[in-house]
Amino acid sequence: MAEQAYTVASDSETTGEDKPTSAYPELAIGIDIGTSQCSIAFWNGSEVQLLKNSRNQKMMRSYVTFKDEIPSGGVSGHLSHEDEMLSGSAVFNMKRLIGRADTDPVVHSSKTLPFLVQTLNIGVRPFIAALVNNVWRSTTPEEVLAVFLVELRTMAELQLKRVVRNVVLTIPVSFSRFQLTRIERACAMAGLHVLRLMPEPTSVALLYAQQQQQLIHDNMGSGSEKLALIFNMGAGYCDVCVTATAGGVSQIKALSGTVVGGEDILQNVMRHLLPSLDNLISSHGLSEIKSMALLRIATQDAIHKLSSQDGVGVEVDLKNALKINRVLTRAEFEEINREVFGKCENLVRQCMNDAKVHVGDISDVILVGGCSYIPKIRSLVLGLCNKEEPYIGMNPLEAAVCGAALEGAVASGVSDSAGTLDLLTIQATPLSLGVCADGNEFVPIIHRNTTVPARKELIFTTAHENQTETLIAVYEGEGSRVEENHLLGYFKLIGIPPAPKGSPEISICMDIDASNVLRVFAGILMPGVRQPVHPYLEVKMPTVDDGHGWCAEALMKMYGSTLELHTTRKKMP
Amino acid sequence: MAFSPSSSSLTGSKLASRSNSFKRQKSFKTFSCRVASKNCSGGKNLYKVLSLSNENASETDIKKAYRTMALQYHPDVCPPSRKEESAHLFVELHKAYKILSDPNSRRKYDLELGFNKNYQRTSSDGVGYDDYGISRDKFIEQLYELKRRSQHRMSRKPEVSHKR
Repeated sequence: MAEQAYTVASDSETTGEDKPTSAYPELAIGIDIGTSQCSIAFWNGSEVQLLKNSRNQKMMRSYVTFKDEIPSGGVSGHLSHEDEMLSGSAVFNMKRLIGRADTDPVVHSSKTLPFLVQTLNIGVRPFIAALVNNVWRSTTPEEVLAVFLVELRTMAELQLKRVVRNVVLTIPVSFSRFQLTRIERACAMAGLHVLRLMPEPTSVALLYAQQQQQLIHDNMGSGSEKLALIFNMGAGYCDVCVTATAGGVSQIKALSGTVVGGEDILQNVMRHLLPSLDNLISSHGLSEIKSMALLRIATQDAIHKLSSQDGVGVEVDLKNALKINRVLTRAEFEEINREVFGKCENLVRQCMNDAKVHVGDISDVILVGGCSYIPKIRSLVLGLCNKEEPYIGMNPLEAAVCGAALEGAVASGVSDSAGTLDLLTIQATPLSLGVCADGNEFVPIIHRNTTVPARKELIFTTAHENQTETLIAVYEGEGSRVEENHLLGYFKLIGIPPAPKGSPEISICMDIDASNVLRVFAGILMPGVRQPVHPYLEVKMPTVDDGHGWCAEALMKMYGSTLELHTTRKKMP
Repeated sequence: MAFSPSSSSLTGSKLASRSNSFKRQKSFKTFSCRVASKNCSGGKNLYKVLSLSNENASETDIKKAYRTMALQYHPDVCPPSRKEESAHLFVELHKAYKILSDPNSRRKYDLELGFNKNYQRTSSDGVGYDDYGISRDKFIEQLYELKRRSQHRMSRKPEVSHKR
């Protein structure tokens, strides 16, 4: 090998390395962990089948109760009453909390939840606790998720009568790579190996590809390329995807997503019904938690009814001398959630724009996720796509998990004679990846919606005379300034030969491999010399652990602009 | 995985030695980009990368070929032992598809291909002439553009002076 490389090992504790040794691993199952509900599915040899729990439910509530010494999750747990989940002893909405720092607005808005969410606003992980025997006991989103996953795994193993180890999990489009490591960590804690983390709409895209293949098989499809827009909105997140499908292959053209969902709608309505809501939250006393629980249940119920009715009467005694007795109309509901709908609209527009498709070219509009039942959401998305009716033939709540199960079968190397599994989703990166350069500017190296696996290189240079070291800080996101993006990691490139500023060439190459692992390679090249000055540096990202908010600030304080990089504006593919 | 010097890093050093003279010439930005994209495909014929028999393939043929190849070589459908290799293959495949599926970049590529074919007959160092071929193509294009602009200016000048 001409260039020797050394690897900087990642400090992430995920299990990416321990791949099964057999040529084909055992059949992976698909899991969709939603903010509010969760489901599990597998390929039974001829089709995708959803597993049911002991109460014959395909959709299970995503929560973990810390009532006794051993925590128990919503998979098997019997709740005597809905408000037991809201008594403070259960932790839920972990998908909204996982991998977020305490400066994140999403964490702050989670303070309306019955369990304890405390923040110090300094960029560390928030303090989360559940009420156990009148004591607030601390936990973490990873731990809660792991407890829940263990229950799912046990349930699947009992029903499938085999060991379940490999899984395909669906994730929101807007998850940062740091959040992905948290999900992998939770899976590792539950003894599961993540074969794939699929952005939810891409998993729906795979199901769509399969259905289109089926149509051709039944001589009903044309076989030509079809463009579909997939809109997925659950309790926690909203994702949009444009995909081009033909021959069982779904090429993801663009992805967009943000953290907005049913939970935001619920909180807006709760605030509308009870303007003094924040007073109730701040104390977090037992009777206040009870009032909040009652309000939450009444609000949830009203929102569901508004999907089919024009108005709904809300009558609830919240105790603590708080009573609500009024009518909530659909028009009112739509008005108070205007901002939420606006965000959805922007996501659809951005996605179509990124995919460079014209409205007229879209064949199908697929609406999935719990919020796709809201009339305003339906009319909004269909209107933007100039369509009368959405695509039919998919269960909005089951589409994502079915796609994950299909991917599980495909990725496990299962094939059948009929060719039903000759399917493929060609993924794209949902977020741009780049480095900090030219001051605090974010310079993307791999742009969003780049097909993966991918490898891109960009040449940078020094910012100062005789600069011998440079700091390479890797970020992910769409903001033009680094502060607006997620810090993934950083490392120093040393031993740059003293030279006038702007003359050494610092090559930074980013590589996303088949397992979606991001590696950053960096090396120094001097004018007129073919070989790099020193061996390249290879760093697996992300390297940051919790408290990454601190890191970025500390780096700035310590080094300022002394280790700055400059871009030379010479692009490499 | 070790850093493979086969594609990008070599391209990087090649670019490093070439690019200094162009550093401050903004107009060559797209030019260096193009050189790199060509080199990354390893000088292979992009039609052959997509298993297309000739350069007259239609857009539908190209799309179809890409999909068929993807179903065979995408790392998701390959056994774990061949993952790294297939990821590399797929990156090449996608690059070829990206260039050939866009009418503009395909036209440029076809021009380069034709030019290089004629040139390589008398040359032993294909790569060097590859770069030259593209720069020449770009150079001529820019020359025409400059000519067009100057003609445009020339034709407007008398008008302006008349008005004054």
